[in-house]
Amino acid sequence: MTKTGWLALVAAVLLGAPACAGTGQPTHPLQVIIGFADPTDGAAPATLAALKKTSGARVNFVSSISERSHAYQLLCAAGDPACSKAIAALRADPSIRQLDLDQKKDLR
Amino acid sequence: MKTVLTLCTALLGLGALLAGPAAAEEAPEARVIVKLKPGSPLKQIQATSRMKSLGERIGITAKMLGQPSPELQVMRASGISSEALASRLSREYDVEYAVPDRIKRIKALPNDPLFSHQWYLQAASPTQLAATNAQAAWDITSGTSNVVVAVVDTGVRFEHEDLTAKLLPGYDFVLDDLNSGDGQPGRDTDASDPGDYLSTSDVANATLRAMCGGSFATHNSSWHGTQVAGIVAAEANNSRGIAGIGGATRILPIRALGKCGGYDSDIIAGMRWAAGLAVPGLPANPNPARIINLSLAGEGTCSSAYASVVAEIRAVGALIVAAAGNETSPVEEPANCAGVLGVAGIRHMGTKVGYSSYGPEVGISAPAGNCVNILTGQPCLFPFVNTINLGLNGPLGNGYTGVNDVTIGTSFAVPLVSGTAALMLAANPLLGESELMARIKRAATAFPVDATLPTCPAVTADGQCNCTTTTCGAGMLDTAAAVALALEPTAGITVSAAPVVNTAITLTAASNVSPVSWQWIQISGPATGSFGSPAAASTTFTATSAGSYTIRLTITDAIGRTTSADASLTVASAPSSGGGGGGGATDLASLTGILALALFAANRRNRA
Repeated sequence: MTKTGWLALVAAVLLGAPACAGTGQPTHPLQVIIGFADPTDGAAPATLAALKKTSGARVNFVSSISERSHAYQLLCAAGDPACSKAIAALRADPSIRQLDLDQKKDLR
Repeated sequence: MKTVLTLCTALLGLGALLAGPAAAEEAPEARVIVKLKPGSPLKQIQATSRMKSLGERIGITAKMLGQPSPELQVMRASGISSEALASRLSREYDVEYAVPDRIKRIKALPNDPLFSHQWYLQAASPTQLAATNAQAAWDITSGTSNVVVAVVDTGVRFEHEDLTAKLLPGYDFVLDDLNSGDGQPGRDTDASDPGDYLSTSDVANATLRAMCGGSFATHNSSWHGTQVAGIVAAEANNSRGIAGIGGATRILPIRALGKCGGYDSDIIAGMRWAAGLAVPGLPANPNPARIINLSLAGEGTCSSAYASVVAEIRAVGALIVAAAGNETSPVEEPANCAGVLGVAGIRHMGTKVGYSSYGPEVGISAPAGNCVNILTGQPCLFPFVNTINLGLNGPLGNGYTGVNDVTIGTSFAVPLVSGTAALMLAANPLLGESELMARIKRAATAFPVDATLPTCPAVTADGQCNCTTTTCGAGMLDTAAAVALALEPTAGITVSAAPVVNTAITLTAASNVSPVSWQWIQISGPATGSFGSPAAASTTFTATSAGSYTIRLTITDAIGRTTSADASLTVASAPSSGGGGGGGATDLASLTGILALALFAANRRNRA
């Protein structure tokens, strides 16, 4: 590549990267509701570690719904293939009875 | 439909469960106006003794309360309803007629100054076919503060003059602090609505923008929860504002929606807490709701998370009422979940309002507000008039939506149904959630047909159509008819103890009426058991073999109405007699008997 070419590439990266960041849609971690087969302390480090191991994604506890059902954030964006893979892995886990996306509702 | 509630708890819990309805019942007091036939032998005795003698003849202790005219006497008796006494007296050969001496009330309209604009609470008429006739329901019952409706919404303004006396403390489930905007971290005990506005700075917040998604622009606060709460329970006859449909009903505000709606996890946790179910880390709800109002929705089929919570809440006897949606689309979640009473919106003339979602999951339709005039500056004519706060962002003074404002949405049809259910429970506290739902549907008015509109699911360009029972539910909500149906007989069975082979247990009938006959029969079981008194209000039952039995109680009231209830009993084997005394420890068989006790009110069938 010529010197001019390199300069053009560097300029494009320097100018383009922030521009991309500015126009791209900010992402929010995917939130899910996990229903466990047995009563589970949803916030316990052991539970989070198990979920991380199963899903391959970082997992944050969000809230408890019942003794068997808790909400979590999977630290991957909706639409990210890694997220789909994580969800599939969690759904295949026999200790998990159900997994739903924690979606939003609005007033009607 | 057969519902069998299996109680796998200790009998103390059973006793507590069964004590509720029984405690709510009061001994009836009868007043009946009696006219004797000219040839009645009772006319030979003094007027003051006639009613006593007539009562003795039919086996009751009665006395004369008054004599409105020489031909008429008013009889009074305890332990029987006026209807039952009148029916029994009417069968006497020398009674010309006997009719209940009912209390008449002044048929005054509520004095709430905006009541005349609450067209949806008035009687249906040729110009407002969809009006709910709630006004007539108030002649049957004015509701009771014992019935709690949970409004899962944006929270409420506790200081609103038309609501403040009707609001329970509630809880705030909006976990995300940005979405909540109340300045209090996480879930908290303050269910007040700080406003769900999106300001310029909110819109500039990348985290909030990412969470809200979709179209994200500034908007004013909706005060939606305050509006919905007012439709159910705004104080009536207080010379202020509007009247709520539910009379004395109280509201449990559950805040689950914030600046950009609410997460399922917050809504579901709020629903559970509202119904009295445990939510980890939260105190128990001291005022469980019998009705849960969900004036909210989102696209999608019913998730397993909603299906689970609906099942749990139905199991504790609470009715869930939810909005079909405003998208002219298939019914949204959670109204599309089995066991939820989904509500579609209709115009004042009973056709589907254009924006309402619709489909086979809808259970009932109710007015949702519609504007006849759509040009700027012209009155809407058929909106709701609701309690609201006047602040554009944060709260300011309280007030009401304008009589010409476009205050519409299936959100507002839902509390009409919830308030109706609350009145029904006031009239008959024994009704279960499935009976509430069934009777609301049975009482519904048939949909009218507008020849200019297509039949749903086909719609006009603006979404209107003629409703059918497969697209808009059973019909148009008729509050007065539903409350009247609530008074039809109900039956239930209480069981004295965990059943064990060859040991008599006592079965006792419960009803909201005074039956004149009872019939106990065995429907199924591994062997034929025996009843001690198969035609009495209470009987013993002895099973000769272990296994599952179904017992049916049929009651008949004084005017010939019958209804039935089934109880499923799991009879345990007799405890082993070997071992020479085990120090009082509960053996496995007894424990099984206690834990396997199953009973109660199922297969309730009313035959007029």
